[in-house]
Amino acid sequence: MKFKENPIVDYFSSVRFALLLLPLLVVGSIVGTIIPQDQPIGVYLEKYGQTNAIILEILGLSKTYSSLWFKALLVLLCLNLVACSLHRIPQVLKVIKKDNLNTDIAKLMRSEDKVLFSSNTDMKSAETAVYEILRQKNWLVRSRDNADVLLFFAEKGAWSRLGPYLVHISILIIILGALVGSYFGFKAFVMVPEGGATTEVYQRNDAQTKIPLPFTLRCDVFDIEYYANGMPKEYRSDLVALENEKEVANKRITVNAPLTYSGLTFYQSSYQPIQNQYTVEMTKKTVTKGNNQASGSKQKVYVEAREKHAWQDNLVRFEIVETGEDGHGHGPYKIWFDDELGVPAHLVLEDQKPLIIERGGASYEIMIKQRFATGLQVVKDPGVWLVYLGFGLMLLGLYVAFFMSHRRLWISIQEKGATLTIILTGSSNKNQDGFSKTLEDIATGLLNEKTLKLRRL
Amino acid sequence: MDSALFSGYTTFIYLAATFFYVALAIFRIERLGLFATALTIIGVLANGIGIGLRWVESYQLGIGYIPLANMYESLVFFAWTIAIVYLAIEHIHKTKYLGVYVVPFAFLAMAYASFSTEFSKDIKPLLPALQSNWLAAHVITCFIGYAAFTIACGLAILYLVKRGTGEVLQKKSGAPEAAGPSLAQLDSIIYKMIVFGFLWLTVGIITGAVWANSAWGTYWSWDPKETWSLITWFIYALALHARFTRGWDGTRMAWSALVGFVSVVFTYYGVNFILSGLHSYGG
Repeated sequence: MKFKENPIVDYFSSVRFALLLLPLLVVGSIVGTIIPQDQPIGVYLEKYGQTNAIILEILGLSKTYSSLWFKALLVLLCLNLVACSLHRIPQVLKVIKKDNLNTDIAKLMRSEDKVLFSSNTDMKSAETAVYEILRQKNWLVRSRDNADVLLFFAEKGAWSRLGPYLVHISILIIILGALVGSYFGFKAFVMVPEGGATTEVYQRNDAQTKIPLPFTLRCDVFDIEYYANGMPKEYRSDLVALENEKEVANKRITVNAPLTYSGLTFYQSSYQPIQNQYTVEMTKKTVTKGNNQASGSKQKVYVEAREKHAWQDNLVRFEIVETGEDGHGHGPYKIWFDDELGVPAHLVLEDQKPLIIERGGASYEIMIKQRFATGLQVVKDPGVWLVYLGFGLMLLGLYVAFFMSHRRLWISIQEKGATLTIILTGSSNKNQDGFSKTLEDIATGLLNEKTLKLRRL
Repeated sequence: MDSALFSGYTTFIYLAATFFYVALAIFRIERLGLFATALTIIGVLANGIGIGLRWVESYQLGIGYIPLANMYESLVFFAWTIAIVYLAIEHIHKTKYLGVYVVPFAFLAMAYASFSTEFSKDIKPLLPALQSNWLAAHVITCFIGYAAFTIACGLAILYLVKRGTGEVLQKKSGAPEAAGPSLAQLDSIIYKMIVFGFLWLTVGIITGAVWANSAWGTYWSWDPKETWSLITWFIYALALHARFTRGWDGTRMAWSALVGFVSVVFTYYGVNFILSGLHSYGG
């Protein structure tokens, strides 16, 4: 690509343009955190007055991050990233693939980091020794004989020069993942009463568009666990997915542990007590005389207060007569209870505490609690794997970009009469101080090699 | 012995260390530096024991969580991270003249944690949303980043002070001078701290996003804390790109470190107490 030929295209594909876009994104983002977002127009009218509120609406500042100009900035940033990369990657590849054996000795001599040696050994054994030392230190070594000079070139981490571009590509992948999520996925919401089921959810937009589920979702139990001080410890829902009335998935979900089935994920998001409705669990144990065996039957019903309910062919009847308010808004309950074995009775039950009623030949265990509806966030996001892939590549890219460097070494051996002159030099694209130590380390390695018979100059 | 007591000790130990670093800078007597370093090490130990005890105490209360869940606990951890990273720098660069500009931040964080009445210091049980292994990963990575940025800011102040006294940035960094590191060395350490912080902030934002996705089904919701962490990320990204491509080193890098730090403080503190959103666990 020949960006150079057009100065405007050249600017838009330059880092200088990125250095303009980033501050704009910063300012835009700040504005969005100061002005309350996604509020009804009335809030802005009250807070900022009519004129300002209208300006806010026109500029899209009540929905900053989904406004046209903010999206445009992000699009420009993406285009800039692509253009910058297309522009720079070929240059970087050229450096990576450069023939470093075609380097002028005079240029090497000008390097600040260099070590000079002389040796009395012959060319052949010097060549072998130098090669071996570099190989042992894990350098990728090549050499070329240029008539009077033997030149070695060794390098490490050439590909690390691509680290920054990996980071840039990862940003594009994350944004691509976000786009896939917003075009092919949805975020929706549904309240399911305990014991109830749903086959549709409602999109989180102004219209609350209905989205049919490809299966039935049932909530068997919703429960709140409290700490001793009354703070909520855990919200949980027992969810069951059904296809053709057959159970295909179930999970007890909590806030940090959602249920995923067939591309949809259900998150514990909120809850609501259902006014005047209670869950009653009742177990009846009958003791048969003679063999002393207990036979029981159990049922769970959702009832309204101040309404009579019958069980077992109308033999057992009960009614929640009165409901109190404890710390969490329900219980204790006053109930009326009657069966065929005794006279009607009035009893008091604590919330969620089972009470045992002995009635001659049978005993009942009754437990009452508030009936809830669980609030579920329902998400379909087919782009999330791309986002996570982008996260991984970004971390890898940052590591490579900041902590790996392209280190290059040149060793030339020149024959002058009976002695050899050896020059060791090199460079690194980052952390030159650290590289000086590496160079010194190699110099020591060469000096310690007895067959080389080196003298440092 | 309880954790609050250790936090109190830590505050005063960091204060004492600060005094010795200041004394070293003024009187230039080597031994003062030894005391300063020794005190900082003791401070780090006391700070760590305080955090450990609070962890144990939370289990004794039957709650049991890693103490990184509110403003108080994060400040204590913040101070600890600053002091540990500083000691590493002191060890690597073999100079004690940077302490004056760094250890006070650890002291301030501890003092604010210990004496502020704006937030509760009680060990409170975790809200359901916070009960996740991501809590530790997210908070620890973010605060390592914050600590690095804080140190970069402290050293940037030193840089600007030295620059203000007429010293000139030499391109080639020589051996450490008696009067502390040269501008070139400071510039190099500031740059390294920003890179280090940037990497950890990135991990912090990513762990936060992954956590949010596993708790709420959305990895990014433009909540003020998230947005400000991104703003901070943009600012440092900008500083790094300006350095790589426009040669923004020295004074301009130092100013970038200061601007970045303002953004860090707003992300950490301002969002909790000035703006409101999903992240308001601090109060």
